[in-house]
Amino acid sequence: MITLTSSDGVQFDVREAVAKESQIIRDMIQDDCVITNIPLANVNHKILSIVLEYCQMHVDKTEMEVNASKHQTTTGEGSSSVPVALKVSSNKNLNDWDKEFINVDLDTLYDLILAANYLNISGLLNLTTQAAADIIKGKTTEEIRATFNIKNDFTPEEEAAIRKENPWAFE
Amino acid sequence: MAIFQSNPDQTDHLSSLSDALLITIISLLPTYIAARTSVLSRRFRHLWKNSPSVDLSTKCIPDGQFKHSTYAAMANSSLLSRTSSNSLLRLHLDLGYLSNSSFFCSLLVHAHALGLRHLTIDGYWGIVEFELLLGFVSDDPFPVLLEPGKEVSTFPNLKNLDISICFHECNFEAVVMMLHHSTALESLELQHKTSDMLGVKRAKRIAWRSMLPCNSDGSNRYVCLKNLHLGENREEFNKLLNKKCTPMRQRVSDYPFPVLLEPGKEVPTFPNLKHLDMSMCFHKCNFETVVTMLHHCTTLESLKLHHKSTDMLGVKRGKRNAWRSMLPRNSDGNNQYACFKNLHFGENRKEFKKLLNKKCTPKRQRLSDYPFSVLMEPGKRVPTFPNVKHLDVSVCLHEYNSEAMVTMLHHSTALESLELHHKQLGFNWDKG
Repeated sequence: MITLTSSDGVQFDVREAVAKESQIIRDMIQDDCVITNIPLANVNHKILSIVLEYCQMHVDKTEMEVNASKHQTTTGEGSSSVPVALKVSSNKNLNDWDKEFINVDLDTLYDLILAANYLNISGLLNLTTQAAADIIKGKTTEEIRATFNIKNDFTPEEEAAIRKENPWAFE
Repeated sequence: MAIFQSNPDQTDHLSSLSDALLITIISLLPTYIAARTSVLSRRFRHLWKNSPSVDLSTKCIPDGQFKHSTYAAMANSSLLSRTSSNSLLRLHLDLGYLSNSSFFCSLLVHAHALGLRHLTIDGYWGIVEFELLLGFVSDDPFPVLLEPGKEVSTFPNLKNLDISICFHECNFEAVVMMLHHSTALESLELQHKTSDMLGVKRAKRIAWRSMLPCNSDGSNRYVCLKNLHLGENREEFNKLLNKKCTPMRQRVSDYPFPVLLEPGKEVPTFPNLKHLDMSMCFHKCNFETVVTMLHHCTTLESLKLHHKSTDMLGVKRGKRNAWRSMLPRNSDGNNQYACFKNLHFGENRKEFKKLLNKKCTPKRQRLSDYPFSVLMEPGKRVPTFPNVKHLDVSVCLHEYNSEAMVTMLHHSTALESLELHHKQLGFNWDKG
């Protein structure tokens, strides 16, 4: 077990495998095998609990798969299509779970991007940045500004000139 | 996806993310949307240009809304104007919008120079019906990756390749050739995509079937290979590489060999060239080009020509004759090579002259309608020069050229002096 302490002093006890989803924690454990308490100065307890929920889920799913394939190999001549099908279905489940998981408000999404980046959890970083990209995707520039409260600091003339640079983007 | 509400506190969290994170987010957008972020605010002005990904896919665009010219403009400013200081990792191309394969090749070559690692090609032909309605004539009901006879680009650094197009014979062969050159490939995904075949004759449909080898599921619609850098995973990959297909490319091309110079093009001159070695197929067309070139190489000292016949499988026997070597027989009775040295000594030029004087059917001239340089092709508009004051022209003023000249003169209202020199007959003719 490893104890992770959030920036606001809340302690989380997690299995080493779960903590190791973070590249930065994996490196720390590798450098110092007896480390048991890791303070995380940039993540508050609310975000850390969400991040750990993600790590827990992904570790559980991977372990389940490994066990399933081990079971296959020990029972011997089982056809190879079974674990493939299992893997596909569990991947699908995990994707669905991810989709539901990332269904959060913008402030949380923003904090999750920062935490995933800081803790270096590539899966979570991909998931959160993709979610941010998806929000931008279906929107006009005005809608994007409104959604993220981006202040337009261009004069109308400047904006028109930039649009002219790449007219294909605004057709 | 959730409906995101604006923050009540009106803070702009997105803009406070680091450049690296914002670029990561922007790199997940199709390029035409990424480019839109340039007008959001000054913070976003140039970020999209630093994205390691150029995604020219058009999936999110409704059919027919994007013109070919718009696509070309987008490819031009997002990819071709990119410099090597700004490396490119991922590229996604939509073949359906790349109507001409030399443009496609130039995109690939440029992307490769920028260090491309992950290439995705889609063969979505969104506007096919639209074009069929207009009577657009294409031999292929699907986008063709590479026109037969064009050289396949090589990507020695490419690691990931996803292609989703119609893997009919012609495309399959181009892809296999590309794979042969992609030695560092780690993962490969090929997906056969049939689009609507309405309007294609039943007998012809078979030509557009997938050429992918059957995988373990018995399907020939997709191939997905991962971790190719580990030896044991390469078996399936090698199967793909070795899959034979009818040499359609050769049947389609008029020439089964590379052609030195297309008929009608002017042969370049090399007045200072001293040594020339050529190893190629000296069929009629190439031979003629070489002879013309040699005529212009007056200071040549050594010359080596080696006839190289490549595989002629798929060329009809009756036609093979056209691709035989046109080199004159040398002292060994062999017409496969010609080797001349010390040509600057007169006595060695005898054999060389034999080569120069060797007649071959004047194929090139038959192809060009005009034995002289033509001022302007028929049908082109004559340019006007309202401000030109002096004009000297020295061309063959045969009927056709003089007509172009007269039209031009009619438009040159400010002309003060004119000199025309008929090149062939050599008479001067001045006009005030």
